Amino acid sequence: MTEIVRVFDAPRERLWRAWTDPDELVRWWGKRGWHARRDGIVLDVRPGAPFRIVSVSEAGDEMVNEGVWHEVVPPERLAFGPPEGVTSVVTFADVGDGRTELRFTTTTPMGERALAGFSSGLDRLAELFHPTRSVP
Amino acid sequence: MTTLDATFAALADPTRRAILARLAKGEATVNEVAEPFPISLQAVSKHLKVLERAGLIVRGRAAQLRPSRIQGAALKDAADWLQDYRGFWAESFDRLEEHVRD
Repeated sequence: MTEIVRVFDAPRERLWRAWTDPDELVRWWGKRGWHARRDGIVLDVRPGAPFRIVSVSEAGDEMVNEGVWHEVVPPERLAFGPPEGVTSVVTFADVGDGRTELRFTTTTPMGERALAGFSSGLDRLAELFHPTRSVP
Repeated sequence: MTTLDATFAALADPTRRAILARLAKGEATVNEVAEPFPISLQAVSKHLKVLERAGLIVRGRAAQLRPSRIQGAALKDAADWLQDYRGFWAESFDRLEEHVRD
């Protein structure tokens, strides 16, 4: 299980828009050296609807993140994953002064097709990587 | 299937993770590995084969005993990959921070 918690200096409606509007998402999605392709983003944020985000690297590699929205509760909560179930949840909590705490939890790398289906293993996998004794 | 695919596929099974945890304590023969599990020696051998193909363990040549031991490199690659995946979100959120500030 991966969990990332961040406080943003913006109201949660602003963050909701950043997550759900393709013109917004394209501005921040992707790690360093990668960016989403605007014409490769389909969000359609409704429960049960699919999404797809195509990213390209500076080297020209392509990566596709795709899945289904399972829960859509503006401006509080998004849950998504493969059609079979929720693997990732993002929540936006108002923490006052116009700030928002974003909490992102995921049990599986969404859309990394090569690894799809191993979600159940990933939780325990994390334990394996933090054993009490070190693996040589 | 890439080595990384094979590694994650091998790790997706709870028995194989338990076997790896056993081998993390030290080298063991098939019989020793099988001891705590309510499954046949053949089944354990099969799991060891999968772990070996995934590069997670190496097995000795001695015909009968074939002691198994854990090999760290594949696990490290898997850990690095997960770290990288975490990095995907962490770095995206860095950019999101800048974006919503504008």
